[in-house]
Amino acid sequence: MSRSTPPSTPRGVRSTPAVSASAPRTLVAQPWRFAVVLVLTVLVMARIVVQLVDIQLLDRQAYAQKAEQEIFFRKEIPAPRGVIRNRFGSALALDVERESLYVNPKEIPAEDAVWISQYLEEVLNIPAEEILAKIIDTKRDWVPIARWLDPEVAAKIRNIQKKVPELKLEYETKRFYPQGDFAAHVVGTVNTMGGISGIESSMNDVLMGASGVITAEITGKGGPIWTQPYERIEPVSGGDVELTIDPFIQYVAERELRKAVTQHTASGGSIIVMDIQTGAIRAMASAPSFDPNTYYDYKPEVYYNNPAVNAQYEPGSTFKILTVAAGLQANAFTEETTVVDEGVVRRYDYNIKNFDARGNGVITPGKVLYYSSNVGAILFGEMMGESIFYKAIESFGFGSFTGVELPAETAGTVKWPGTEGYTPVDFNTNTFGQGISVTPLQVVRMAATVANDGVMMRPYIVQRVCDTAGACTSTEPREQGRPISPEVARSVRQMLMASANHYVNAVQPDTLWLVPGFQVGAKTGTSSIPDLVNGGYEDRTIGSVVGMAPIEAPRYAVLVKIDRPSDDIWGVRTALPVYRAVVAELMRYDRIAPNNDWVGSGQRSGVVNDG
Amino acid sequence: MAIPLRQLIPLQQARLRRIEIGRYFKLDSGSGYIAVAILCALMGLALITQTVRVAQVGEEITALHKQRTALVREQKNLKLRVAQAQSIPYILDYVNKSGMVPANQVDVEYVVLEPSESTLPVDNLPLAGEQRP
Repeated sequence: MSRSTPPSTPRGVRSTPAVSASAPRTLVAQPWRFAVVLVLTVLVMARIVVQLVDIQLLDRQAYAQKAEQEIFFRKEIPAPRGVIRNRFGSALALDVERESLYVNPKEIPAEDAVWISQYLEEVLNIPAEEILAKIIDTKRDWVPIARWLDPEVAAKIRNIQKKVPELKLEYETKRFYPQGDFAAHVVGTVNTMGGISGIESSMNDVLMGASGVITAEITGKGGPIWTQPYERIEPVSGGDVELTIDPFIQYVAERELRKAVTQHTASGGSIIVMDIQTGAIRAMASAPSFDPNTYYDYKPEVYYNNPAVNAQYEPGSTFKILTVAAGLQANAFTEETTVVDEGVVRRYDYNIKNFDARGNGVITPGKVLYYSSNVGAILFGEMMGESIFYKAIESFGFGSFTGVELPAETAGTVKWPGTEGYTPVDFNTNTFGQGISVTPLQVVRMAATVANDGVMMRPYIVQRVCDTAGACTSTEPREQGRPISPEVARSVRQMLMASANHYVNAVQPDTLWLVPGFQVGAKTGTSSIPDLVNGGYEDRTIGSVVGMAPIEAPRYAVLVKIDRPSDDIWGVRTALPVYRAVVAELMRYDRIAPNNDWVGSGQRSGVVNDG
Repeated sequence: MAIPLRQLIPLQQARLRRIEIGRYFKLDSGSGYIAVAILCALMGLALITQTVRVAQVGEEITALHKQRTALVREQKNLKLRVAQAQSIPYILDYVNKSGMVPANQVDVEYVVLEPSESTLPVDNLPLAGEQRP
């Protein structure tokens, strides 16, 4: 049996009205619907195409990078910083990796926080309250509790990690200064960016090396994918720097300086010991000192500055060495030339006096040093004249950098004739070391030049630099000029020896020796300190001594400077005892045999404490 | 009316069918497929073996790197201890604890010798890391 069906209507063709009510209803395709669907489809497709173009072409790089970041793990391997050593190879600064304790406070169960902090207090010696405050601070994700732990402490933490896995130990590199504040101003220190003072700063490029990198594919959980070997570019260690510092001489200098600063309640001071033949600095101590391991506990001016090279001061009477040497070198006068020292001299409306305002009568250049006569220095200075005097200042290197490998060296301040601010009386005051600013290193170089028969050597403190491969470059001693002849130098040394012994003889003739058993040269100085706030000069002074030993075949030039001693203003009573102690130790250390002809009555060879 | 030949010779048909069935049991080109499959399996095995080996070696390398890092750390710590032990205050402390006393200048008798190779001055002594001449 077949059923009749209405004639089919092609899609899209409006059907004819139904013939009867019982006729089946026919769906009519509306063209606008078709158009809407078509447009929507096209729009969706277009959006997809735009997105594809965006992802595949325009932002391709960013997406690729993002994907790479999810897959690849990349970590920088910091380069070990080079080692700083003393002249015998002992490390003064080196990198060490130590574990640090971190926590994520969000991971620490609240009920465990108290006992964890109490346990850590015992192990770390940090107050429990301080630790508790850190581990309950859930606003933070990663909190350091204690950094660079000693291995024994880290081992204790590792034991408790089984119970408290939220305690995380991470290795971190730390710059260690194993000898604490030893030679701190020379070695300097580092912060997270690199060297900030001392050799750490000036030799930063050599010491820092080049970082390495490790690249590996990781799983979603961050674990390694063993089948994908990782790339590792090894870091290149920094070069090692070996200093000229002699550990024993440095130790003696620091010990004696510390004693003097404490004894005289001084604000600071410096001691420099220089090898006169090469210019190598064997000791450079300054007070106040600091521990580079914890430099942040000190004032910035303490750990940033090295007073031995960047503190300017008026050299005072120690500068008379230059005045006498320059006049002799220029043949402006001889060792026998005399002037009359009446204790005071008037120049350009100023009365210029000796330190005690007393006259010394007829004096030679040697007696200018012996009595520390300001008047004598002025009169002999005038004999040689302004131009010779300032030429000597220039040839001895004052007013310019010494070239030592330490940061922030200052050149000092010399008012050169003809420059702004220069007045004729400056020449007079400069002859006895006032109105001119120098650095301790410049002064000790001057003494070293006299000791080295007039040959001025560049002061240096870096003995050699070695790269990772072991190739080393040594510093060659360099001559910086010959401001005086060997004859003049020898003559001045004899004057300085007489001057040195004079300090320990209350009555004449001088029979006692500054350092019994040895011929030692020395000149003291007492310098006024300009008051930068109120003008004029401060009440306190700087006491200093510079000299060389032994006189006939000198090895060392030594400078001692004590800043603002509170109990005595004179360098002869503050700095000279330190100078004697240091020189006596130097003679013993260098195994120089004392001569019994140079030991006075009641003195003991090489002993200065009771002399 | 024609009679289909097949209906007339059933034996012939049966024989032909037997021949047809036999063909299914013949290897012919099928052996090639099996060989390829075995080869693929072997290659897969080799690949897996290689992958496992690479993973093992990777793990070993990482373990060695870790060991090396630990040794380098230990070496650095030892260097630190050596440096601390070489400091003058440490030596003085050790000397004092050992009951030694510093020699005074007066306690020392100097014997002056002519310079020779055996009495090199301090400055001529080799520096750290240098060979003696």
